[in-house]
Amino acid sequence: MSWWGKYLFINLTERKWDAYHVNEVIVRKYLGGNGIGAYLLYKLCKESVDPLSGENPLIINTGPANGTLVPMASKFCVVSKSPQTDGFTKGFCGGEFGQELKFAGWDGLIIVGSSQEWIHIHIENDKVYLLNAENLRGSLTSVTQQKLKEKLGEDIKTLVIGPAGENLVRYACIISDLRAVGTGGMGAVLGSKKVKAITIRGSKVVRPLNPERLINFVKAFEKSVYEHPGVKNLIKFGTAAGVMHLQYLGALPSYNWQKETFDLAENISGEALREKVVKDVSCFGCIVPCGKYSVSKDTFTVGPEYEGIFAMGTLIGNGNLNELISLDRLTDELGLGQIQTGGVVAWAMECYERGILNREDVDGLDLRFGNTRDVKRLLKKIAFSEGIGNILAEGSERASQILGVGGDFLMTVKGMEIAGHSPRAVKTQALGYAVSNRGPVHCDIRPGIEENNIIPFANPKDKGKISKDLAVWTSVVNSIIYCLSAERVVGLKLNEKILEMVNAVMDWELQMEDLYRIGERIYTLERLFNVREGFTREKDALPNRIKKEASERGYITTQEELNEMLDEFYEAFGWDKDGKPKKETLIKLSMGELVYDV
Amino acid sequence: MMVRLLGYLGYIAGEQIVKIGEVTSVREVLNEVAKRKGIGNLLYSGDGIWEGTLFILNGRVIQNLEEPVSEDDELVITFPTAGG
Repeated sequence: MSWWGKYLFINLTERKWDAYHVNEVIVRKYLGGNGIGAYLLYKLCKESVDPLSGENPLIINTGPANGTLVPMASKFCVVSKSPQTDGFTKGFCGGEFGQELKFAGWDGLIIVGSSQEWIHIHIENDKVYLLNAENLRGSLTSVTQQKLKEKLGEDIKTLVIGPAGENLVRYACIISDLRAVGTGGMGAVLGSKKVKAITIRGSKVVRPLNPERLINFVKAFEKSVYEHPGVKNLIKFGTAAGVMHLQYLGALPSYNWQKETFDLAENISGEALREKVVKDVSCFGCIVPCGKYSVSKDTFTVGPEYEGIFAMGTLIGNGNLNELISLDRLTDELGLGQIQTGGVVAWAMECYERGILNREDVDGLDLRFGNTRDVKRLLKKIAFSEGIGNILAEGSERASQILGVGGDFLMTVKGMEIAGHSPRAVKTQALGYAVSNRGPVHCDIRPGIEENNIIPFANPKDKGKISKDLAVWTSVVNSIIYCLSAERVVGLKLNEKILEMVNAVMDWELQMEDLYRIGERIYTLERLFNVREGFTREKDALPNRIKKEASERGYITTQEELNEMLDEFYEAFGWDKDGKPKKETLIKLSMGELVYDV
Repeated sequence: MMVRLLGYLGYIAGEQIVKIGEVTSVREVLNEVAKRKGIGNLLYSGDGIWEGTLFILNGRVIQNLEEPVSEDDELVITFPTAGG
């Protein structure tokens, strides 16, 4: 059926594992994926634990739509406490690992404790093996995956970390095949547990609870997918189509956000990338092949996605597409989360260009914007924690504190570098970066509705209330788990189509207000996790540059604007002025058991 | 005036930049562009324009399709894109 009701709970310290049951009451409250991940983390992670200790659980989670016929429902979710923000984090990844987890008979994995030696976890349906992984230490992500496939068979699905995760780089990612769980530093969490890889093979069948109902939904859904011009755009150009869109909007960040246009944007646009694409690829069961196998002179990659073009292109002043493909590959091979890596490198480059860091400070590298040769050297230093790389591995905010420089142009919120959508121009994104429970990402409060002028562009009016609806919507989407790339087809807020999907997958009869309540509950639970960690309104901030330096087109988001949007957002959610959920809100959301936590 | 067709629009039109003459409003520009093979269905859904299709006139996002245009203007038409 769409959910098994059990997770594989692995205690690495004790080298024991067992089934961990999640009953239907919890599923009805939190759905799956993001929601149940937040529930499990809140329950299993004690207050104030070190994210890089065995006490921090790592939860790899599927959603009820995964492994079913629903198109664009291929992603899985990873939840933990972030070593970058010291708060709640979650990340999503396409490919095939999530479905295989479901086919092995598990809704997810809960990993606690830490191993004494480097291990590789292998799962074959109900059987679990903790295998020695010393021979994989230091290896690149593609090499690790290839070795595992040679040993266990080409059909296994893999999830690995690179040298960055092994060396506890705070923004290390997890790689699955050629895709990444990029945000939150969960590669470092896995590295702290000394888990180099997880492989899985399953042979069970996910049977829909009501096959006829699901098939009817899927038929109508598929038709609407193919009709939509936005999907055609995505299939042809991938998410890289966003480059010129944002360039003409004056919202394409460059040179560590000193500018919001990039003079070489056309060279690294979706249209230019198309010339390098040799194959369009899709995730498991997806009918929208938005992944682009692209080749450069010396390598290939899947992508770069828009965020990769931002992080390894515009942000660091790189307008060379071959170099961009090469850097995209290198970050994946080293297991570095791309958005944050780009943010850290761009910050170091601005320090260098302003003479705050000199050549000696950065191990002899020439860190002028656009010098990709030395960026590659720097990435290796970060991943292996060598020299200046060891400091930058902490992230730009911590590095600034260690070095005592560059605080004026940090582009961070909650200790994490911001993603590639403009918080100066896009007000929902400004608020989204400030309040998102996992730090400044573009995937919780989404920018698309404003970047496409469906709601007024660059205008803060009502954006607090609208952003609440966006947060509720993505909480549901990320819990049933279908890809956010379907947002144009399914809708940019909760609607009848999403309700129909949830009801068809679960064979439920929810009403819209029930579904909305689930989204509110999930987002509020994430917030509660952060409140328990001591987060207050003070953490819901924006970088100074966004508030004080206007872009070329004159866009800026002031502290006053942010304050107004924050007040409106908190009030819409039923939180107090400090951003703490009120007791009556928890009771209204059937979370009364948590009242004493606030 | 110059019209830039980004992404799939430009791909289907076979050119990313098209010149259009004797138009006085953004709506008239659209009507002219839509006459090109394969473009009409990409711009229009039923009686209206696909939600999220964006019009940027001389660097400024416009709300109103009756906005006047002149010979020296540049209009960018771009599609919604999404990604996770």
